[in-house]
Amino acid sequence: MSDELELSIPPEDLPVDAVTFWETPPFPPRPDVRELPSALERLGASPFPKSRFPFLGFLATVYDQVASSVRRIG
Amino acid sequence: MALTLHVHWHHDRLFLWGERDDGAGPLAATAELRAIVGEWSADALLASVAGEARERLWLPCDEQGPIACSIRESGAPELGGALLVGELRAVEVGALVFSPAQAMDLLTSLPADLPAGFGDSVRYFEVLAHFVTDLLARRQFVPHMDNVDDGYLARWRPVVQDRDELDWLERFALAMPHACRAIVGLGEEGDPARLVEGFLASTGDALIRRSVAEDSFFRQPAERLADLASPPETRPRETRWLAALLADGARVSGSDEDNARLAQLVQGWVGQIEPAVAAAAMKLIFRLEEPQDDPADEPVEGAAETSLADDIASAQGKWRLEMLLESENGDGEIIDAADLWGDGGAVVLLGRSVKNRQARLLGELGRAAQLFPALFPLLQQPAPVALELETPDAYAFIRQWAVILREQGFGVMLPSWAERPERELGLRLNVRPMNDGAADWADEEAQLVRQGATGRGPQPMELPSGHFGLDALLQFDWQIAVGNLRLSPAEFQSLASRNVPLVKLRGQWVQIDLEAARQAAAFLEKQKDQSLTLAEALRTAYGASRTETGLPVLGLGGTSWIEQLLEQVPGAKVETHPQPPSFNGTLRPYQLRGLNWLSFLDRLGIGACLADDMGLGKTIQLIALLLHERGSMGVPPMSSAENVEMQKSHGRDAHATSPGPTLLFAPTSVVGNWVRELERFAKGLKVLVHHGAERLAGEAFTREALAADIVITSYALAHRDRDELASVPWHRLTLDEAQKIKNPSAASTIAIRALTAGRRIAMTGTPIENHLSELWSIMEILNPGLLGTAGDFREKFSVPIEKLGDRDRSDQLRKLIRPFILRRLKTDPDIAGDLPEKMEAKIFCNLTTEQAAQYERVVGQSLNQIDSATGIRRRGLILSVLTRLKQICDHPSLVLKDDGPIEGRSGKCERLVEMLEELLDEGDAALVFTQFREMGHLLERTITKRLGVKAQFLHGGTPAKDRDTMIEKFQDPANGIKIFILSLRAGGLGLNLTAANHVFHYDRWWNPAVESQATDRAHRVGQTRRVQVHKFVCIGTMEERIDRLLSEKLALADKIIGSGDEWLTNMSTDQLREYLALSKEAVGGEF
Repeated sequence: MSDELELSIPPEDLPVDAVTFWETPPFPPRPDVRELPSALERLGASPFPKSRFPFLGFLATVYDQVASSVRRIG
Repeated sequence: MALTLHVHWHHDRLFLWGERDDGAGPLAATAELRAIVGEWSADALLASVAGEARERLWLPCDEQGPIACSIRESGAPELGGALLVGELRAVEVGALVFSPAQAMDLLTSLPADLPAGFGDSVRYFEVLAHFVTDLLARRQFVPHMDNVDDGYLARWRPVVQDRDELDWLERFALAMPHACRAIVGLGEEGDPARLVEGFLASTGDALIRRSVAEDSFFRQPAERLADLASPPETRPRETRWLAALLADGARVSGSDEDNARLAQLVQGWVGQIEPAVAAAAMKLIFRLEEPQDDPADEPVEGAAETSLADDIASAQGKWRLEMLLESENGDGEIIDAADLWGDGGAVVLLGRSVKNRQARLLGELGRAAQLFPALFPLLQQPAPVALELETPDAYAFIRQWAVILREQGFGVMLPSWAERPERELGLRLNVRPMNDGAADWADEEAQLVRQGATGRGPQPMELPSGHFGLDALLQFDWQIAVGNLRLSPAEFQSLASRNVPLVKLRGQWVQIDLEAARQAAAFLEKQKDQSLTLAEALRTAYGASRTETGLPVLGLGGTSWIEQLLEQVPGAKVETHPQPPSFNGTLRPYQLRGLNWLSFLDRLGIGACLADDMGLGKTIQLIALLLHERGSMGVPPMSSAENVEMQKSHGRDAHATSPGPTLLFAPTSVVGNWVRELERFAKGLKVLVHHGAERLAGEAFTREALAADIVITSYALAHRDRDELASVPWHRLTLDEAQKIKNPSAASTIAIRALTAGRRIAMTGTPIENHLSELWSIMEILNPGLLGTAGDFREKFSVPIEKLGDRDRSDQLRKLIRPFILRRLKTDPDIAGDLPEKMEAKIFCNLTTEQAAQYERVVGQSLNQIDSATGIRRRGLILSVLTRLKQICDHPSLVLKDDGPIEGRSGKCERLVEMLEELLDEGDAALVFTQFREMGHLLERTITKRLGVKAQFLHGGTPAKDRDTMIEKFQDPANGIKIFILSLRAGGLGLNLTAANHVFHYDRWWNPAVESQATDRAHRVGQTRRVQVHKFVCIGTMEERIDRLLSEKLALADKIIGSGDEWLTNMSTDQLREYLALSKEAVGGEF
């Protein structure tokens, strides 16, 4: 679709009817979440095995910091 | 609040706009919005830092302009009776703009219960914002690297690993309010899933960077990693990536080429963590493609076949292992990796839009490389599509890696030939008679028959040694088979020596196990210049182990008569003959097939085992064979009188044109039955019964045996009379109920093995009762040496099959014996159609010596008393003697009332036990009717003791409650009650016992109607199987005479017979004497 056409024609799946347009289906409830290991743990060994930089250790500290910081927001 | 607020997200920004509640439409200016945000946000400065934008939205409008969201509550207004539907128009609104971090601050600081004035879109993104913080708090995020238009960006990305959570996210995306995606010009970016994914990625990345930046601990390493003073190419790539992850700017320093490799590596690493979700959403498939043929090598029509060397040379091209992605949501869409790299990788895939297909491919490739290391180089490529393999590596992939990858959830598509085991190499042995091709073997056979018919007197017709049969020396050659392809040993030797595991032979790829090929080559080398008999060929083809032959032996083929013998279905191809004219009866079609098969093997001098189910008529098939061979030799069957006359006039030469005598071994209990069946179906055959105390011995036996067509004896005499039996050169040796020789070490078995006979036939309904050794014992008599020595057989078959459950060996043995065993079951479709629903048979039994003595004594004592008595007393005496004689025929202990042993004292009882044993082996069930309660108890004890199964007995004294329980137990197969004994009076009427498919009338009521009613307990509505009725009759006793009267003069019998035995009381004493007297043939000797 050209830009011009896109600007002049609304997406087909947008309802034209005003009531339907403004109606929203109920939001599905979030499921109970099971405890999963940290994504970093699942990543396993470093992809840079020859690196002298403590790659995974450093990332682990980042993860701890992010989790702690975000909990304060939540 | 006088406004309703809405938000939407695109291009990494959150836009907030409002519309007036009074229906005046969206706000054009943003001042009011800032005031409201400042009012309810916990962060008072947030409103002031937000940017401003003019957003163009598709909104429903009527003639007055945009229709407010409050229409949901008020409903669509009507205009002139018609609903006002409206249309979507592009409307410009004023909006506040928030960066991802600001958006998170805004959305996570909203009041717990949003007051009126917040539209659904605000609630929607509030939920998503909390979802992002939740993922990060649970450490569900990964560092990543994205390729953008002008370089590479290091990004943090939340990940959803839990399947339930991913499903929820997809459903949540679909629930997105329409206003959130009604942005003019958004195009495909307006897909709800993409918008959600973009929101998660951008806000997650922003929150992580801010979290790290706010802690001074990370400041120093971040600066050190960034170390902008040193040129990027001198710094390790991982540090450049990490620096970009921590810094404000996400751009990764370094060349694009280097960063492309780094991005690939990162994707391979990060992609591993999502196998559960990724594998569920998309599956990585490896497709192995054969090397492309050079068109110049294509065979030209009419050109000579390619040589083996050409074939091998053509196998040197490169194989391609291509990658594809398959959606697993049921749509079956498969995307080629090459196409995937072409479309930018951001297209929505079947609802799993939160996943990026390129990322999935690389992630799955990383996981696969851990299993199949040859894939690692692909991870270094910017757009991996396929891996090239040399032929040995392709072979290894087929045999090894494909299995491992499949086990771990990857798809593997191999060329069809690689999936079919039958395309593996195997050996095939082809044999043919020495003179094959010179003449039709049927001519030779005819010559053989003439030779036997015209030449050598009473000697059994000997087959030319080394011509037919298992000892016939054969021409043979080995072929190496690959499906329909055949290689000569020379071609194969050449192939094996080249060490190539995959070869394209005449256009078809073939896998070669090199080690097995070397073994097979050595085996074939040893086979050179060897001669082979048919027995050896069979043993080699089906008895040799894989360690000997290297390759599996796929089959044995032959020409001429060998081809017919080896035919997969016994009897399918053999010559057909009509029923012998002298056979007094009608053979059913399957019996005629049995006759043809017996005749075929018989003429080849090969032993045959007829193993039909009980009741299918093995006996009459053998009788028909005796008549057939005499008929085909031009020897008309003669009556006994004629036979005697001929012997008188010609002495031993009377049978000069006869093929010679058949020796039949049978259990003592069926000797009499054989005599009666021969009398009934083959009146002209001369039968000699060699049994009982008065049997012939020495020269008298030899003379009479040579003059007979068939000599019937019992297994019990095989060892005892071995000298007499060995004195006759038998035309044929026949074993009825051949399971009797299941013990190869028994004296009788050894004696039978020692007998000389040109032809051998065994008949049994159960060729193997318990152990394979029984089969060996039977086959060793039929075809000596075919199954090897007992030790060989045990080592090659018994132990592997019985102890180790070796299916290959079981299959080999089945093929090895298949040409020699014909087994039909009553349930076989082509047999069942030939059979009536109810089959009745008389079972003729001999008396034991003890029974005969008792019988004669009772008759002798009673007749004098009867003769002198009159009136009621006379009638009473007659009934009494009849009852006693019947009891004696049943079992002598009924009259003697002794507590002695039961076994071996009654011919009927022995035969019943044998037949019950056979039917139990076949999974059948039986009713046994008797008139005598004592006999019922005796049978109950005997069956339990000798057959090891529980039988139940219902009689007049059984309480009604027990009677019902017994019936229920018998009718339910789960209870395992297979034998139900019933007294005729108590069980002959009214019961439904359809679980039984055999009915035994152990003694006779002499009233067909009463017997028929008893039979109908099983043969009635609800019966789904054929019912076999067995009526026991003692030979040479009043039982047989009355049975004959009933059979031959049924009309008369109907008139004279009332019920039970009453009608017999009207006979004169002379008539009675005639009916009751015991004839010599009644005695069967020892059981």
